[in-house]
Amino acid sequence: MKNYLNLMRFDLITAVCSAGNRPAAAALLIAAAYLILVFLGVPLISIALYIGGILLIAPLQSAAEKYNFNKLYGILPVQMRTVIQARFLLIAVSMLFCELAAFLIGAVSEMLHIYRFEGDFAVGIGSLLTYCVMMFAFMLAALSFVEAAHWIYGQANEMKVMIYTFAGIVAVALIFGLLMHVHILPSFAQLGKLLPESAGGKLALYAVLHLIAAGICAAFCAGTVRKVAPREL
Amino acid sequence: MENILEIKKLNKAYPDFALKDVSFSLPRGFIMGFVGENGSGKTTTIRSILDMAKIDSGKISIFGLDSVSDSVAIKQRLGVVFDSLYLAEHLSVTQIEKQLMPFYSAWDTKVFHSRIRQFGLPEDKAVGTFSKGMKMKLMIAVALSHDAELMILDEPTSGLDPVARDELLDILAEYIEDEKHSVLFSTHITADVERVADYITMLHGGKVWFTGTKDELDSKYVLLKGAEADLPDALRKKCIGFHAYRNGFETMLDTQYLDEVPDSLVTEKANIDEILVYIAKEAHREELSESDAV
Repeated sequence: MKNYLNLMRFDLITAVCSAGNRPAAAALLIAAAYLILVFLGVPLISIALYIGGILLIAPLQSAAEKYNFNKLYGILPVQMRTVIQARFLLIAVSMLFCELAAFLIGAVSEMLHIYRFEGDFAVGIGSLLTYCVMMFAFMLAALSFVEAAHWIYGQANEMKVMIYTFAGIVAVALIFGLLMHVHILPSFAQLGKLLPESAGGKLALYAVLHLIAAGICAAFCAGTVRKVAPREL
Repeated sequence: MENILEIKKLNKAYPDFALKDVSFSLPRGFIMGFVGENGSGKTTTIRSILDMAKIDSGKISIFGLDSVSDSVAIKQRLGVVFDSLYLAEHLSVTQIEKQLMPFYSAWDTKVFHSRIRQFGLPEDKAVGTFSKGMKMKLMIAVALSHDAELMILDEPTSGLDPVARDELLDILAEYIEDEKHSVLFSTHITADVERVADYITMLHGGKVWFTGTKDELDSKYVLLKGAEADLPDALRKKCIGFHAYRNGFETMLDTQYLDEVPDSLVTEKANIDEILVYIAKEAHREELSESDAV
């Protein structure tokens, strides 16, 4: 476990720190703009915090490729599988942190919003929580896929893999859209009605979404370890 | 004498290159120069020692531990310096220390910072702005800070100016002074080996041509010069790498055949560069005769 924490710390320093203070000033500006939008605009904008996860993972992947971290992993007293697992763990933890922070910031904003404009707090918070959980599940699955593509195919081919995957998703969405249009499949509005309305039902849905996302992340992690760990460095 | 590193019959094949039965050992408290031309297999051997290359057969023991099954325990006690940094170059020395420190149980922050000061490295600048010599010193500081017992350096002096090379060699000589530490450094700059190495392993075409002390190498080969007509056929077959000139020839000979050399021929001591050149000539000649036979 200690090595997982050491590697996550290693990755965080790589992604977040720099020898100067310029990025810190930029981060402060972005954070201020984000908070103004959330508190003066729409509470739901709080889920934009998930972009922070991408801003953490993208520079990490870029640095790992640019500075050939594979060689460094060969020097450090850790196994390659631990390095890969720690990276996926970092993604999951950072997404969980984003989810929690987005919900808390959104909830405070929602309270202020309702104070100003009136409305049903329970409905607003419930809707915010649903969006936060769905966003968590989507982002964790998407980032796990990107991370796996990065390890397995390298940065040079990663974009090609993602373009093909995106094209595949668009094709599937078009087919589903067409089937909904001709009423072979139920529409989104009808699907929305299938979502549970009771608090217990919603909590169960959130738990299932978290489990599915964690399962996808674990599956991508296991696949990456199987493909990459036996490779030479 | 305890061997800190032992390699026995190491084989590793790639489609276009192979290490063949590489065997050598490095006793504790000494520096071994690992020499050979580019592509001779030095880096592949080092990558095998570090379990970065998966070996086909053979055994590598470091501190008496197996290089594959005990690689994590070995790397706690190993310092490695490659020809490039392989660290995030946008970070400062202090930030890099924060990254690496938790991995090593024996890390000593005081030692790290005192070495950084001794080597004259700025602690707050991005390490990407460092010269190659400064980057080498940073990696050596890392190795010294977790009290690595064995330091492995892959071509550390290539691309360094003479002053930086001299400093680096002084650091290595100081490192082994307590007779508890050892150094394996690969290079094709043989002057560095002549200066600091106690042991030498010579690699050519993936095979070990010589391994032993520097003194043994000094007395193992001589250069043989003279008129071609004075060279007996039986002796010519024992020569390593033959070069004929208009007025004579030059070749290298194992000193065990010195008593067969006629008085009319001249012998001279061979340095490491010359030994490497004649080994390459001999290998080239063998390849040609093999292809002729086919």
